[in-house]
Amino acid sequence: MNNEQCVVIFGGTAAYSLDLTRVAQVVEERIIETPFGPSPPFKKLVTERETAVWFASRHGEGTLERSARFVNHRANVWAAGELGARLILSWNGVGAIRPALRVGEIVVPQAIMDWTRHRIGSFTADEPAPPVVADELQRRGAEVAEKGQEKSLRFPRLGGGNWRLSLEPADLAHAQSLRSAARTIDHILHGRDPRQTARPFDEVARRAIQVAGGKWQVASGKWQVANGIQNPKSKIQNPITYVCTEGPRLETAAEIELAADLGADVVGMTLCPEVWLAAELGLGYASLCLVTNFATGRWHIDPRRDFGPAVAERGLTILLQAAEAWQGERVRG
Amino acid sequence: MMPVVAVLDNPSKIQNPKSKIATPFGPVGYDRLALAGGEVAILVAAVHVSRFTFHTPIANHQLPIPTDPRALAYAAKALGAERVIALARDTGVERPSVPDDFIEFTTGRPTTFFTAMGAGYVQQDPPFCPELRQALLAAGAEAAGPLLILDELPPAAGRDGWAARSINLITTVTQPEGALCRELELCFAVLVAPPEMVIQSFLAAVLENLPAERGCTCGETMALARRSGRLAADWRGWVGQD
Repeated sequence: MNNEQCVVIFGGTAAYSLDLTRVAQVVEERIIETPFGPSPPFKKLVTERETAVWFASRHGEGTLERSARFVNHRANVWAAGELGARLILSWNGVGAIRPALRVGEIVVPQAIMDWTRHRIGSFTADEPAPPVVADELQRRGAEVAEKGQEKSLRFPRLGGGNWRLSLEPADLAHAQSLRSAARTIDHILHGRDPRQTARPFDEVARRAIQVAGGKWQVASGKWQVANGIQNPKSKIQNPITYVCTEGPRLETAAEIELAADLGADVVGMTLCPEVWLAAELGLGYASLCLVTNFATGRWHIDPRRDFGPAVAERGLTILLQAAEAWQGERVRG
Repeated sequence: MMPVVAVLDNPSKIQNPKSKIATPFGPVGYDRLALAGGEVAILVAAVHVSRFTFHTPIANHQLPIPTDPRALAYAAKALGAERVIALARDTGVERPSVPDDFIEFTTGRPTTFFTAMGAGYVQQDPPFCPELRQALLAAGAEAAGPLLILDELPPAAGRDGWAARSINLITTVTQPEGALCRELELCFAVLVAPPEMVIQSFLAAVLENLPAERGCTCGETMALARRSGRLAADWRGWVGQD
């Protein structure tokens, strides 16, 4: 693994109880001192196919030491940068909002609604980002939709001053629907550069996860191959929007209904601000979401719950394959 | 005598509470109210200071001085109450109303007692104690839809947008107090009431409709963490768990 190919994997759900040696060889362990405190232990994993990555568990080691609300994302991402990462991959347990999803399925998000309210989303900030108020999102989303082909729009920021949003043609298309516009504005209200956040995920890495996840689905016998990995029964190719809530309390049914109205497909607590911090350091980022249960108020759709080490092992296995594919792409240029 | 119910009065009319209880998050003032069905502790969740002027053009504006929500939940538990009613006095309602759910977008408020351990993932289904909520309804309050909790009340136009979503109750209080009470295994429900409502007789009716022993599962909220030994037997040890 040279520096141009360095991949860091952050483990989410059940990573703290995962026996890493079932999946790869642990050849080195490091704790990185950062301006934001010490990192968790980073372990260098090498697979049978000699894929090497750095791995860290977000929520602790051995037991659930900290809830998503208290993960030190700044120390984690800074440490990834210190280790030379070019790409961060992560897995997250999520609750399904979209009724078509099922517990045990895997999806790859392409957009985020950031509903966190207490987290510091920048290496240079001292305080959490201003709040997102959903009706404000709707109003400003409608404003974007009405302006249609405008190439430059101004929005007052909640924290003061104005954002001038220059929309590229692709972003204009992205802003045509009220829901997707609301997502774009979400980022504006948080005071982030929309050119960075309109597409928060690395597309090459997303595809690598989709391919690796598709292979896992076939290998595990969960889905029959109908058309290669473009299996119509699999949701892994679907565009997915992840809403990140604050926690640690779980969401109410009314909150989930609101998120669904604004276009969210899955809900979790960990992706933000990790994805924004990675963008600040210029690192690629992509995530694998494992549907562990249905969100509040939707348990009647599928009441099962899928937590535990097997979920973490599934996540790491898929991400190691995705890392290998991504590194291969880098070598091929 | 331990109170049957603790009421988080917000904003409270009690300017000089007769009693005070110390908590790790600051003192909480309260008055005891003896009713036929038992005793109620009225905790001062916030008071308005009068004739406060600040730099914006809004002169003589009354600003609420809030109590730390952790202190309120801790005080209710320490006083021995097992049930908590958060009273939101709101000029927007004509009759006492009991929401069936909530949406919270508050910021800058402490949301959990478990700041450095993997606890606090409290399910919100149901979001309020069904037994306590039923007692509030039986006492004469109206059933209402979800309660929206924001840092600041929106202007009229903003309210219209939420009304289109069938959200008609908007307040700045009751969360995260509710989540904190749930972490301490207390029953929790919200009553949104007109500001001038005298609550004594209403509370007496609530007590009449409450079973003596809790029949809900609120007292088992942290049972998994307790049984696994991750939480101490004494709830006082849960606070600020590292």
